[in-house]
Amino acid sequence: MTNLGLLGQKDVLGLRGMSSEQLTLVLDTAMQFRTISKRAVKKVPTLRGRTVVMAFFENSTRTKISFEVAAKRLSADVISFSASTSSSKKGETLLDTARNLDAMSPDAMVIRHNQTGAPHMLSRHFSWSVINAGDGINEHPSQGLLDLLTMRDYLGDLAGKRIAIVGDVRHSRVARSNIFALRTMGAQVLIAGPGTMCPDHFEGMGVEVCHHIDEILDSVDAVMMLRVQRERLGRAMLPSIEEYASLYGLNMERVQRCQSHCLFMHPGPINHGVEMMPDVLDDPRTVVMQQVTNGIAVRMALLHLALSGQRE
Amino acid sequence: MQVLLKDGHLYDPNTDTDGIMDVRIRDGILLEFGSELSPNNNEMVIDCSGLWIAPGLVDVCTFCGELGEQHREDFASLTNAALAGGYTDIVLGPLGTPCVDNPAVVTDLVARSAQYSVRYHCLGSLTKELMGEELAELGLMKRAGVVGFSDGGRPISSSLVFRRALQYAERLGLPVFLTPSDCELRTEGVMHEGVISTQIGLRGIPLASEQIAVRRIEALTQDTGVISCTLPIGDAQNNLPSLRTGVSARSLLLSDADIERDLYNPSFHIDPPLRSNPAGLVDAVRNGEVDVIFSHHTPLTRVEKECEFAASVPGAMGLETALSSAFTTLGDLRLIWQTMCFEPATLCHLSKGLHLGENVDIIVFDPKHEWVPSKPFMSKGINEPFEGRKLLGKVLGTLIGSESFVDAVRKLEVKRKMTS
Repeated sequence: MTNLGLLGQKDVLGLRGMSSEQLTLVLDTAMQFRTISKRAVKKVPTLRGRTVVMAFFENSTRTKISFEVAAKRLSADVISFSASTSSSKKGETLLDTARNLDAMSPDAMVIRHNQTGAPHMLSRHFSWSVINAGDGINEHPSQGLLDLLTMRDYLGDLAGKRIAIVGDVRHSRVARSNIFALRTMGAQVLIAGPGTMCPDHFEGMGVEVCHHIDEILDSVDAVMMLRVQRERLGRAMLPSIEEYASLYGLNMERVQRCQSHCLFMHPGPINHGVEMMPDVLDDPRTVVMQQVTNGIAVRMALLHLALSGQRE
Repeated sequence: MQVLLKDGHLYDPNTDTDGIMDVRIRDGILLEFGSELSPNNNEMVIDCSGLWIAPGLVDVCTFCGELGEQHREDFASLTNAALAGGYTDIVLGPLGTPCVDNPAVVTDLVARSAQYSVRYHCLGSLTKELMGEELAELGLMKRAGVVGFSDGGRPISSSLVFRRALQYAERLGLPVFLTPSDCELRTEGVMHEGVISTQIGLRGIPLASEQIAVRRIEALTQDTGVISCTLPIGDAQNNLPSLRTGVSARSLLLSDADIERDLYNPSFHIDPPLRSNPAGLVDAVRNGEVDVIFSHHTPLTRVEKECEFAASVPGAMGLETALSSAFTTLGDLRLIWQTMCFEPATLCHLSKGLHLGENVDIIVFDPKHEWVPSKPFMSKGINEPFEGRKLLGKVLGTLIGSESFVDAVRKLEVKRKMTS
């Protein structure tokens, strides 16, 4: 039997196509789970007896740990493996690896992969839930949801709010997930960055494309700075990191021009002094750590909603 | 065995034939054609009313793995795929292991293909090992039997080498088939760059990659006087009077939107990529701006295609569905025969038409038959982009020469009974 879960879908492959009701359900559920992390005994039996595989084919620290903590706080059995310890180093294909894991009867796989569409492929082949923890440059839905929750915590209803995303939007899965979710919730999304990183094609996603960060700072409700992903940069994307930091980096001068309630966000890890200056982290409007805390709650919600359904 | 194909629409502009006629064939030899031929004793009569009968199609730049990649395709499977799709002349591209870049390989391929009913022809690589650095032995390959030359889907990056290859080929009088992709921009991504690639998070190849390459080919074609054919064009290109251009049949129907519709299906990972404006290409074919429609047949295996989109080997099958997909969009069989049979034949100096007293070379096509391509395919490939999608028009029979004649007629008879 296919497990559709409480979310009404087997998998969480991306925020594209998810309705505002589904997004709100995840956020509301996450708020309930947030209290568990504040208790002395941080564990509930929700997923006792269920097996969650953490398959990380790409380096990850915070997302992997966050998903593991989330699954363990729900009492799931967690099996972790990363590319360096897996057969993919020996040339095994992703599908072969997944077939072997399938033989061990998991209930869900949380997957991060450097190829766009890798979770979607697994979703088509297997009956267990696939939760995308980042695929190529495509989507990072749990990050998008934790950003959404953080914004909702501080800004309330997101309809009509103006959210700026600054940096390498083109190669950012965080940006894509945020754009899809924010647009669904009725927010206006502005992106800013060099032409090599913010192509005009994003206008087709209902986004306003601005090439200068200074044009938009005084009118937005949140500024999300993206990490300059040096490992994903192709040839001739930027003249220099120094030029990028000067033209697009968030410094105190820019922070002071923002509205008093404007949030400063970053998905981490931060390149200090590049996209965000160290002193900005001390500003009370910077919510980077709240994002991390919300990450665990959101991932607990995703695992719970995906796995609690027909098969129980 | 003698057969009379009765009341089909027979088409061959070379003999001014275009109307309801009968065709009489004995043991694979075309005996006669004309109106209301009377059936003879002991002659099988197949009712072909409503069907189209015309010379077999010609495909250029088809991939066959016969050279070291038989797991992808060999002559046996390629022949079955070609016959199913209505092709009787196949011009093989130079890609292979080894590639076709010297006369010994050409001789070997010609010898190996001789036993099959489909007629196979070869294109030689313009440069050694398709590397774009040194000229291959173009003259010796012509002597060994190639009908043209090609870059094998790997554009020559050096304009100096490219120009000299074209200059050299021009004197040999054979056509060159060239890929419209900029050598650097093509490596940027895995699909057409646009709103859809942005939305679904796949790196895009800008249309400028094709536009730059087409203008470069045009400049060097005019400069050298070589007969060139640029294919596959993925987007309508205006004002190219000196260039022959070709499109893949699938690109008239499919676009980058299909990668979103059937999300990340690697069968749509094709190089050069599916672009965003198939209607524009269809108009270009109708306006006579496109000379050739070809299958761009690139069969690939499970290992190469059952994986992540960008990690898959680019290419899609096409031989078994090219005619049907072209007919589904164009609906004009005369135009289709011009672009899928006569023009590619003229380019490669092949003879096509109804020749009395010679080996028969015709296909029988049912323009009203709807069908959905599905596995198993005749080809060894698994990457058929039209799998599961309804197409209009199907080849009921391909009759070529004498060796497979009885078998082909029986199959035609069975299929005709099933569809009528």
